[in-house]
Amino acid sequence: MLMVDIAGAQPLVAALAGALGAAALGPLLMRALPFERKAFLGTMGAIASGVMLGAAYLIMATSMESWPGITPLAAVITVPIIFVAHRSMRRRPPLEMVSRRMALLHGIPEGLALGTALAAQVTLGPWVGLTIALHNLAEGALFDARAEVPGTAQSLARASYLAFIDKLPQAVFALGAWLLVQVLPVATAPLFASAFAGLVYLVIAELLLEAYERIGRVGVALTVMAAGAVVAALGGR
Amino acid sequence: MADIVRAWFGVQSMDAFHAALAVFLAALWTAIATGFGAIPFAFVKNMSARAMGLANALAAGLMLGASFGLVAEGARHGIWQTVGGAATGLVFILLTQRYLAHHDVSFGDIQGASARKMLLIVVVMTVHSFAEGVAVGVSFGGGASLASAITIAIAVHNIPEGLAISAVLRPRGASLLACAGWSIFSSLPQPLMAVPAYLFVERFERALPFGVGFAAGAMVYVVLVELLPEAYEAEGERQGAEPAWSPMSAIAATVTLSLVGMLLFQRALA
Repeated sequence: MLMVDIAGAQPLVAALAGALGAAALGPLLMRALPFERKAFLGTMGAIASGVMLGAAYLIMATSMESWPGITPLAAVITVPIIFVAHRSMRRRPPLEMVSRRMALLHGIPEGLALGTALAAQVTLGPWVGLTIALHNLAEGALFDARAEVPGTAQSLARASYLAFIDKLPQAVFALGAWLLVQVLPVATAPLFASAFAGLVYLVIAELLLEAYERIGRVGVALTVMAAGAVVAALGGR
Repeated sequence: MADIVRAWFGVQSMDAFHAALAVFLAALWTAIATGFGAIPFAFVKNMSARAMGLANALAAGLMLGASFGLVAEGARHGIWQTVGGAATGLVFILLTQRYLAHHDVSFGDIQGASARKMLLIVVVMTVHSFAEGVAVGVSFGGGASLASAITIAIAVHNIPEGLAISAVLRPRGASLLACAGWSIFSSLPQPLMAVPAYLFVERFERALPFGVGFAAGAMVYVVLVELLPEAYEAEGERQGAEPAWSPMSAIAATVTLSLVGMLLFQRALA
């Protein structure tokens, strides 16, 4: 009989609360801090990219150490899948639906990374949780900026609620990955590899591009490297 | 001559001298192997804007993969030293970039911004070879069979690095021979560093995390400042849209696949 350690789910619950809470705080950060808007958003995008690349590195390094054969192969298989999904989602308007589909697409690797890390690795899990929360905070701020339509300013409460909802797919996939690893530990390596490939792909395809537009090449490089190095160093790898 | 070299390096016996010479020749062979990375570009005559963007994405992925491998190697010896090395590498390449921006640069027949970019890539890859040379020399302390395995591994590992260099040089007008030559040049620090690292293994082993961090920092910076933005711009121009609104699926897929390919390659050779 398959057993799931429900009592051991506390770290996952805490990480999900932190991740979703951070997303909801993003709009508040966006409105409360007195920075120049364009530079602030660009920096947020670069931070989100840097911490995701740092998390991707941590996941890959951990997975390659334990499952050197399966990990890169699973990552290679993931790339065409996410490529097709990304292209098809981008091509089908209206814009609102594109935004929702993109939230779903982003939620998959982020959720897989979080759920798998918390289920499989005692030391890696909390770092990935913290990284995802930091990423969500930055994305929550970006989400608020993207959703803003001139002349129709929405309340802070509504903006926070929407940023929270935007990250729900992440929580669903985190829970799914966590449960899967509990009942089928052999799934850990493919899940890690898929998360790694998905995170790198989406950072390159979406997040970095926006950051370059706002703060330029050197600003992006310095911010991404600093954020990535902090994540990698604190994760001990 | 042998006596002078032995005295200069502080090599006590003839056996030690022969061993050091073997390390040098093995590392030289690995440097020459880097030139093979130019071969795929023998079949590419004219490159469109899109192909140039994808070539930049390919180089970016390969360099990111190499950097991930270097950081993982450095972290095994000391994560904070590796981070310190990366920060120093970043400062080094920032200063190099500033220097090049204020001087007229030519690269063969090529002038201006393209020449600066080509030179920067060659500088970064050459600097990164210093750290690899130390890694080769330190690893050679493990015996003859390990040494043979490492030589083959590093030689094969150098081929995609030559590919990364050629992916930047060839689209900007460098000849195939120049691509191969600069690829080999970029790896020449390997034989130069391998011998002292082999002879003074303990001292060099302690500096290894700093060295690999330095190389990784310099490479990631060049990827983020030069290669990726250029790849985005080329793809954006092709689609006739503002880069921010163009779906960069092809660029992202190329970077991710080449990054994973480099990791897979490194793992297979480990």
